[in-house]
Amino acid sequence: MESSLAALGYENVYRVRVGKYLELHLETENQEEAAAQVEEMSRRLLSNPVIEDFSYSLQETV
Amino acid sequence: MKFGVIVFPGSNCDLDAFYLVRDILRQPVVYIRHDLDDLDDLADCDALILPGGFSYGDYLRSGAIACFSRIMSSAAEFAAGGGLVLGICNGFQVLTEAGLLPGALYRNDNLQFRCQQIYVRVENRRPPLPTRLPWALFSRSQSPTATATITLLRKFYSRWRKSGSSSFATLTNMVG
Repeated sequence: MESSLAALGYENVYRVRVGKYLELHLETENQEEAAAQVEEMSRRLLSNPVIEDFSYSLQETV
Repeated sequence: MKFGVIVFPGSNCDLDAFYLVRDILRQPVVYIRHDLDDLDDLADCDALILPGGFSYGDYLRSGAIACFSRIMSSAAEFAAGGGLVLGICNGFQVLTEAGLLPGALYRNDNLQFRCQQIYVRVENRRPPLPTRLPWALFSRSQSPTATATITLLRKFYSRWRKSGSSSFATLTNMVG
C-alpha cells in the first residue's frame, strides 16, 4: 500500500498499516461490565492474540 | 484406516480430499458435517481431514469462525485421545486458530502471490509423517496442487500403517 501511495505521488507517506475496526453494541448495567466483556471477546474471537493487538473505547448510547 | 473429512460452510477441497482417500488410497472415508457435536461420529475414524477452502467465507480471519463450530470441540477430544488430524491449507489455519497447532498464519509482507518449493522441518519428536527429505520439500502455494495433497496423504497413510503412532503434524518453515 505504501508503495502504491508513492506511485500516486504521495511520497511523503510512511508507516502505513492496515487494521480492522469493529463497532459493537452491548446491553449492560454499566461500563465496567461492558469493558470486561469486550476485553474477553477480543481475546477469544475478535483478535488473534498470537499475531494481533487490540484496543477499544466505550461510548454510552441510548 | 478410516478417514473423516470435515465439511464447513465454504470448504471447497472436501470433495478432493474425499476422492483422494477413496480412489487413490482406497480407504474408507465419510463426510462429517461441521454442526455435529457427537463424538460417536468420529469414534470409528482413525484420522480426520480438515480440507482447504474458505470456511465461513474467511470472515474475521481465515479459520477464526470455523474453530468455534460444534464439530471442533469433538475434534479436539478426538486428537487428545490419540486420533490423527490433518489440516490442509484452510484446514491448517483452522487448527492454528483453534489452538490445536501453535502459531498463526499471516499475509505476505507484500501483495505478491508466491508459489514455490520450500523446505520445512517437522517439529514433532514422533510425527506420523516421515521426517527426512524429500518429504520435507513440498509446494507452498495459496492453492496447493492435487499432486502435493496426494503425496501428503500417501505419506500420512503409509506412516500410520507402519507405526500406529499418533499426534499432530506440526509443520513450520525454516525461518520458523
